[in-house]
Formats: sequence, C-alpha cells, structure tokens
Amino acid sequence: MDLLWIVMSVLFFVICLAYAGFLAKEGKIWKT
Amino acid sequence: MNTSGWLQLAFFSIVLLALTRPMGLYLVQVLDVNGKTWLDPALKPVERLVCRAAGIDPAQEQDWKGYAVSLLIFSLVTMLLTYFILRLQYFLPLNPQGLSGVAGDLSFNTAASFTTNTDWQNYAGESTLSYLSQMVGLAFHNFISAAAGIAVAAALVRGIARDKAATVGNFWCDLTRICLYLLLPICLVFAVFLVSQGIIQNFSAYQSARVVEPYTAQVPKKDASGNVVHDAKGKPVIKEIKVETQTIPQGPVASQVAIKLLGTNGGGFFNANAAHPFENPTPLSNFFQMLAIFVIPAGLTYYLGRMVKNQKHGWSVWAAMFFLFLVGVLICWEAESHGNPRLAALGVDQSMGNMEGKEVRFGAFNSALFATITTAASCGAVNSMLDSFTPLGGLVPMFNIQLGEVVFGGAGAGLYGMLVFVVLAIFLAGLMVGRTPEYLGKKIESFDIQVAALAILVPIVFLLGFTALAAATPWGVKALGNAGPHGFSEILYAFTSCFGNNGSAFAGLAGNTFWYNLTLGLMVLIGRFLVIVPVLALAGSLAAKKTVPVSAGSFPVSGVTFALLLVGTILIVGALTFFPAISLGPIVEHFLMVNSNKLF
Repeated sequence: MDLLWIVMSVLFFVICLAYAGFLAKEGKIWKT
Repeated sequence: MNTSGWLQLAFFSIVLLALTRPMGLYLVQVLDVNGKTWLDPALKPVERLVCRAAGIDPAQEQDWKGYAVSLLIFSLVTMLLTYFILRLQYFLPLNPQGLSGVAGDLSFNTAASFTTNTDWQNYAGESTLSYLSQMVGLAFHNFISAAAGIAVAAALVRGIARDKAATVGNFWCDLTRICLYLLLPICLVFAVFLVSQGIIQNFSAYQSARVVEPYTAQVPKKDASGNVVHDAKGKPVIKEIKVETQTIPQGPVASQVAIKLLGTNGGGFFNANAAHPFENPTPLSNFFQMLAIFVIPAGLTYYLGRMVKNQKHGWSVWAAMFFLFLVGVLICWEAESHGNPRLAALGVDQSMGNMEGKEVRFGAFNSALFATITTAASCGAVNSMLDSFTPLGGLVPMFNIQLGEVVFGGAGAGLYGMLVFVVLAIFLAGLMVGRTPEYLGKKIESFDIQVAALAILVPIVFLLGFTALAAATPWGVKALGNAGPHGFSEILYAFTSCFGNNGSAFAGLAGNTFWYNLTLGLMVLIGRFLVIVPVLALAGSLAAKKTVPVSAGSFPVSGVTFALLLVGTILIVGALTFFPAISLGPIVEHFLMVNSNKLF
C-alpha cells in the first residue's frame, strides 16, 4: 500500500508541474 | 453580546491595527535579499552558511516557472519525508509511549495536510504520534509551509511592483530568510511566553492520575480499526465504561503551539487543540494566540502598500479584510450569545449563551472570536468545538473559509488570494465603466483573468464534487456523527476546510477512513497547489508588463469605493458558488431549530 500513496503523491506533483507548463504555454500564446 | 465582549473586540482590533505597520516594515526587510534587520549580527552568518551548504545564490533570481518548480519539488520531497517519519515512528527515537507506525492512508493524509499548511487531523495527536513525529514530521512543516505561503505572496507582490521584469525572486532565498528572520525568532519568544502561562514543554512519558470522583461514561463502541460501530438503523452503538484513572499527556507543546498559530497552521498537539488547558491555559494566552494568527497576514497588507509605493492601497486591502472579519465576528457572537432556543424550552439555562462544546473559561464571546479568526485566517486551531455551535454560528466559520481564506487569510495565502480577487474586481469594474482594466499601472489582460479565474474556480469544482460524492455514498455517510442537515454540514465543512487549507473540523465526522483520508488528502493538495501555480503565473505575467504612470483615467485602488467593490466581489463569488450547498446545511438547520422541535 505504501507504493500507492507514494505514487499518488508523486503523480499529483507531476500534474502540477504539467499545469505550470500549460499555463506558461498559454501565457506565451496570449502575449503574441 | 455584553460590554466585556465589546471591549475585548475593540482592544483586539486596536492592537492588531497597531501591529500592522511594524510587522509590515519588518517584512519589507525580511523579503528583500539585501534587507537589513536588527537580527543580522546573529543570523546573517547562519543565512550565509545555509545558502552555501544548499548551493543557493541569493543574487540569482528565478522567473515564475522556476519559482513554481522549486516550490513544487521542495513540497513533494518534504511531504514524502513526513510520510516516512509517520510510517516508521515506532523504530525512531523520542517515542516513550511506544506508539506504533501510523497507517498508510492516514500518513498520506497527514503528510499532505501539513505540507499544505492545512493541518487537518484525522487522529488524536496524544494517542497517535511520537514526539519525533510531532516535532520533525509536523512542526517542521508548520515552519516551511507558512514560509512557502509568504514567499508566494512576496513573489506576486514583486510581480505587481516590478516593471518589465523577467523574475519574481528566489524561492530558496525567500524560504530561508522567512524561516530565519521571521518565524524562528518570534516563535522562540512566543513559546517562552506560552510556557510562562502554563503550557508544558518536556519529553516526559505520559502521567497517570486517579480522578477525584470516578464516574460512568457512555461512549461509542469501536471496532479493531478504531471505527465507530453502527447498529442496523445506522446509529452508533453505545457502551458504558467506568472511569477511575486519567492519563495526563505530556510533550514539547509550547514550541509547537507557537508556530501553529503564527504560521496559521492550526494543527493541535492534543486532540482538543486550543481548548486543552496545556495548549491554551489562560485568557492572556488566548488573546495572544488570536493575535498571533492575524499578525503576519495583517502585516503583509502593509508590505503590499510599501512595495507598490501606494500605502493607501495596502490599507484599503486591510480595511476590506477587517470589514469582512468584523461582520463574521458579530454574526457568530450574536448567534452563540442567544443560545439554543430548543434547549431553553427544556429549561436549560442559556443566559451565558450556547455553552455546549465551549470552555467555561472562554465563554461564548471568546469562542466566537477565536472561531472567526481561525477560519478567516486559514489557521484551523480551535478553542471550542465548532460542531456544537448553533447553525448560524457554525455557518460563519464555514463561509469564512468558502470565501477563499482571504479575510486576512493564511500566512501569505491570504494576501495572494486577496490579490486574485483584486484583479477580478478591477476587471469587473473595467467592464462596468467601459475602461481597459488597469491595476497600479499594469493592464489586466486575457491571460491574467484566465489564471485568476482558474485559481478561484478549479479548487471549488473539486470541493463541491467531493462533497456531493461523500454525501451520496455509503462511505461518506457512515462516518457521520449526526443526521439530517447537520450531517451534511459536517461533510461540507470537512471538504471546505481542506479546500481552504484551514484544517479546523466539525468534529462529528469520523474522518479516519480510507476514502476520507484519500479524498481529503487530495483536497488539501488541490486547494494549495492548484491555486499557487496560477498565482505564480499571474505574478510572472504582471512582472513582465510595462508599468504606465497612474493618470486621471486610472482605476483608483484605494479608498472606500475600492474597498466596497472588493468586498462585494468576494461576497458575490462566495455566495453564488456556495449558497445552494449551505442552504442544504446550516440554513435549513437554523429554520428547523427555530420553527420546529428538530435538533440534529
């Protein structure tokens, strides 16, 4: 079960990083 | 509502007002890498040592993406560290009670909760956690999660204040300086003061004492997993126990209480939190604990004014926050001081107000004031049990959180949440008068509104979704201590508290189950990081803009009109989003209490 919680934690933060990347990309689109 | 209460409220407000400027000025120095403080002779060498050991170059600033990545990676690593400390506490030192390792789901929930400055606790600290877990696993997070929140607020303020800049600061440097110059020194002094008031600070094993008058108590029967056993009708099975001895818990309490309040974390060393005499023994400790919750968020508004060179703007934001706080206190105090009419009809004395779940030494006023402060400020410490408040009295803490924790708010989180609303308010005002929205010389454009809307709306979708899921599933309903609208309020409050990274609870919910640990754990993470990421994107976007001089056509961001516009925007967003849900909970419960004999 430990693996489940660890993977879930890591996965959440990977999603957050992807979210930041998405917003960075959106920001550039709107600026141009 | 008595004279004593009015005087205490006035005194608290005056002291808070008086502390705002000095705290703000100190924050200006702390949040500047070249800032000077009177602690420099002692702490500058420590700061240099930390920076050198960690490879931090204070001169090298980060853009918003670098800032966000640093914060996210740091949060993940420290969250996993806490997870493993909790899981392995049996094998680790400072565990005189020999407490076993914490279950996986509870460890996940607790680690996520403390990483996000929430401190939601699905456990009783004194019976679950070792001293090492409390100090290294949790108190450590109380410092760094508060520091991370303040750092994000500082990054956003820099974004507003800077002109065509690519960077918003250095996360590692901000984190180090906030912990070293702000949180640690104040907590050291505050903890010593709390010890002087009677809060304990030791590593002793728990003491056992015979009670003066043995008694028989009725308690819910629990299974081997610690869950309440229910009968066929879904009601808890009650058993009788004779109580002859009492266990007196010990521990390093004062040091943890100081940061739990100053950092607006709220996680209690004991299950009863600030209602426990070892966590909040005197009226004076109660007063300073309430003050400690608000002092940094209030000071940050002055910091905002100073940084953007418009002190009136900072005070206008302070005034908007204070207005919302005052309205909340008065509604909550009024509801609690009137007591429960159904109990009055049964002949129970209600002259002191609704005293169920309250400490006699604090009374209705100080309980209502503490509850309003702790939920306005994303703290979550409690000196009374919110589950026992009257429906309207309990509505105030819940709605405070649902407004987005912007009424002074969490350390840092309150200011950046409020600034998102400022951007939204200016955008709405621009639409109404037909002007291009402009905030302190920065044009508010499509992307800024996109990220502001995302910061507000995305966590709310999860909050309402999880609440609906729990209310409609057996695992969600089974954990309730009450039926009807009050039971729904318990579910709504739990997810609201985690959404706002508050951590206080309507204590009737037995949340230590697999599904609640999972969903509430995810909610705290979503409520924290899916707000911080768009806020930092907003900081980066604003920093990159050219600042145009303020002219007669610029939207005024100070004064009564601006403060009222800001308050109106917050209330409208909160009311439109949550009115249907709170109607099903505290509002319908209030009318049932007043107009019928139904109590839940």
